[in-house]
Amino acid sequence: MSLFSRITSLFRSRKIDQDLEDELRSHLEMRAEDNASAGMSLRESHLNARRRFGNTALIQENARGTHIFVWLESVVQDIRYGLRTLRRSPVFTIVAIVTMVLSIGATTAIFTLVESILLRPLPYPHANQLVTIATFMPRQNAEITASPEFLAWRERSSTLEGAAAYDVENFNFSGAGEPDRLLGVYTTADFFSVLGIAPQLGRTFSTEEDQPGAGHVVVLSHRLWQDRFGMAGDVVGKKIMLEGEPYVIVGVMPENFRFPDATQQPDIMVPLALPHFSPSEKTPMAIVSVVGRMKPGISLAKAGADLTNVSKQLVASYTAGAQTFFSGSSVRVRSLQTELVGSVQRGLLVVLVAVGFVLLIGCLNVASLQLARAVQRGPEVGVRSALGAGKARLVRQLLTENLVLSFCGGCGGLAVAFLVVKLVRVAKLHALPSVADIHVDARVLTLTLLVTIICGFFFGLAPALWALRSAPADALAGSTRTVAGTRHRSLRNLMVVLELSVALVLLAGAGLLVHSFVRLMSVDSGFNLHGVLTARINLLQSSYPRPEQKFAFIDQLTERLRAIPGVESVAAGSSLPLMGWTGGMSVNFEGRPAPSVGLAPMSSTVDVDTQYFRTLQIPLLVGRNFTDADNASAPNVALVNQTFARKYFPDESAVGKRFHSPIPNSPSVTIVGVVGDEHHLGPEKAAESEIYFPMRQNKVYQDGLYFAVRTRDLSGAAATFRNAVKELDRNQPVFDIISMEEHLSESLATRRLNMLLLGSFALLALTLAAVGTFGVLSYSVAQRSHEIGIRMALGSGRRRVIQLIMREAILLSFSGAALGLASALVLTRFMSSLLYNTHAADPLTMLLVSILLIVVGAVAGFLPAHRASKVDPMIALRAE
Amino acid sequence: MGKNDQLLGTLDLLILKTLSQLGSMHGYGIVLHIQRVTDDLLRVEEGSLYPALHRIEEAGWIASEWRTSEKNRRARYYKLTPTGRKQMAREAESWERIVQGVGSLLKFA
Repeated sequence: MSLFSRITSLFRSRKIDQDLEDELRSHLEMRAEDNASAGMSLRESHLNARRRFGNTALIQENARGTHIFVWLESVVQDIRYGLRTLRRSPVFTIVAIVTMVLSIGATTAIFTLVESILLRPLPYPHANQLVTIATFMPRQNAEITASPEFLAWRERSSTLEGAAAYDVENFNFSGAGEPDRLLGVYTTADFFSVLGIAPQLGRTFSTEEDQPGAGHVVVLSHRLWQDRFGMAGDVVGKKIMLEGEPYVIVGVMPENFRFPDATQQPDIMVPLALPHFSPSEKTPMAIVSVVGRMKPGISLAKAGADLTNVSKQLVASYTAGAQTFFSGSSVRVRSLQTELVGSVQRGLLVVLVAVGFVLLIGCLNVASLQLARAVQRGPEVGVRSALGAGKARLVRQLLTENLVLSFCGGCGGLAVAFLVVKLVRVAKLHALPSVADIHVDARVLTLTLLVTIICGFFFGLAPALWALRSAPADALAGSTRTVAGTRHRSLRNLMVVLELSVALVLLAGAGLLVHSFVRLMSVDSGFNLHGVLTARINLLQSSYPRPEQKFAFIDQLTERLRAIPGVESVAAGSSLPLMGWTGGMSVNFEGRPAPSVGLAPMSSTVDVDTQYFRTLQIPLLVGRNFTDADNASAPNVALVNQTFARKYFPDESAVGKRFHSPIPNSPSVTIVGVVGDEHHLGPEKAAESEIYFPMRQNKVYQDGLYFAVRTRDLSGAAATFRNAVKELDRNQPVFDIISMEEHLSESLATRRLNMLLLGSFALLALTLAAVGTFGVLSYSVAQRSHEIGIRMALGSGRRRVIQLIMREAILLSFSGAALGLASALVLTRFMSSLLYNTHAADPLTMLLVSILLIVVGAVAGFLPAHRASKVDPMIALRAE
Repeated sequence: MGKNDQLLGTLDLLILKTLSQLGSMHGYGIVLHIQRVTDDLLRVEEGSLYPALHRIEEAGWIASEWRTSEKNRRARYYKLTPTGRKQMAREAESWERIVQGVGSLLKFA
């Protein structure tokens, strides 16, 4: 049928109806006339004509069916009918819609995260050419890129279009509002052109400004411009103070600019000003991060080979010692996208699969509810098909009804997803890469629509097919009891077993994450983290140029803090437990042969004051603690941790042993004691060998300071700390004020997010599966009330009846648990990388979740069982 | 044709052929013609006929107009269009092929 005739038929519909009726009437009359002339009575001939003609209404319907108007009309009719049927059974409708809303909502929300973080290209032009480049040093087991290598890559590489180096640092900021410690970054001038981002205001810095000793210029983030300058248009040319020195603002980045770092977004960009490097002179090096842009069509492997080659040439020009130091190093080139999302990728994918399972359970649940309803609606379907409704027409009607249902669910789900995404944005979860701009977009909407339609068809298909099979005569003749076949019941049982098994897989996954998390939380970090507040201060070089001034500040501050009621002790150090790596040194032990240059063993180093171990409650195992006498004029001493002592002095006491750095003319240091291990790098990382130096003895004093305050009043401690600093020096910013407990919990944010998501989906799945089990058993009780009546009439006690139904419930749960356990053992292997110290098939977890599932299944069966025991045999039998 | 219409499209061919033989005819006449010509072997049920007629008309193979019948009754007359004639030839050919196929299968046994 041509489109034109379809459209014109829309307008002609009334005339068509009339025409058709006339045509059929004329046909009937002609038939009646012929019959009459053949000798039939008038009445008889009319009847005969009608009988031969069959169902005129149906013919009319069918003939009309060729017109689009009629088709549309019947769709609207189906939808209206569907809504009416749904309204008639509100409990079913509410359960079904809530199920759909939750499962579609969860799916959409998680897909939004996955889409925003993993699938959407990064916010840079031709982002697929962007890579991170780093040198991996096997001996340090770390990626350390020195600035000379970066310079060589940028100059000599044939595969790179450009490369930029940067170094993220904190800056003391003043000159616009309250002084503060802000995150900033030193970058090379080409940083902006490599990323392909232009400033919104002004300019970025030039290559001339990116030279040692060149002018102090700064580019601001949009956020800083907004917060501190009220987005004033004349900000370019103004001055701000960074680290006590004036910098001229030359530009402002656009609002949508994202710094290529997974966790931090700096507000200040200043020139890195790398010195020119020549291997013959002693030039300072910087440790930098490198982002590069590959030439179009270059693969990661090719770029990696090219850059490794460049590095090899460079290292060959180094001195022998430096060559040993760099031996075995390789250049790693990774796509920026992988680099930024790599840490969350596995977790997100696991959660996506989990939410897919929840959706599956939701669909199975609604399908199973629909199936039960289909049986109840057997007579209705029978009557409709006896009245001439074609099977295809009936199926279409049932599917329309389901689509109406799933669209309600889809709309609700979308609302839930919007809400969740909003919450995620507000919460600014530390676990998610900050480059991702998380929002619902067209792709997500399309997916939701698809999911909705597929769900509608999927859970509508089973009941519709069932309706197709049933013959109208059976449906009309039989009571509802006889209609329910065993095949049908086993189909519903199968669905419930599937639901339960999928729920078990999710429970197992969540259980493993919880187990890991509990293990991590209970890791003995080697110190008492409860009741400890930490804070950081970077003393300004301009206000405190000499070490004595710095120590005076530290003394005054600790004194003030100790005077505060509730404070038990105060410590300062160059780092604190769990805060990460601070510094390291190679050691040569006296009395042992010196290792060749570049191969001396490395240890982490921390400078601490005398109260450090007392405040953090790190036990002193052997020897003595530092005292005030361990100052710059006293002999050099150090404490080492247990790992250090075991590693280097396995058979003797480390106390009294002496070591020095391989750097010529380094002072000799005596070990005066051994302290317990503390996890410096975080709870997941084992303790490394560590050396503690008394802070006042360290000649090269680093100005980054950590403070730890052990107090009985943790809630008010942050404010008192801030006040104490302000009273001493109102221009001195304090930052990262956080309790140890909060710090630990933040460092576990990704794990917690994964655990919470998977955990809530597992609970959702369990609830849905329980509802499914409850539904099937209730239905089964209703179906078997006649049989139960007979059993009771024959002397079966109520207990026996409860046992009968409970047996069914427990059988279902056990089957679900068995099937689920088998699947879980296969599937949880894919999440091993998310686990800490927990096997992917951890028997305890598997046992616990199986028990949980069976208990929940049994509870879901108890209500129907109880109802079955209340069946009155008289009524049940009389219903026949 | 009721139970006989498993061979889809056969009804279309019967209608087209009837109209090509009669020139123009109303629905009732088509029923009678098919019945007569096939010696009561094929009976077209009205329930199938009218939807088919309307479908074929929408496809443009036949055209219809209201006329007065030989017995002075108003009826809707159908006649073949040129496309309908071509379609008939096509359908007749495929029908022949089916008959041939079924025939040789039967003979083989």
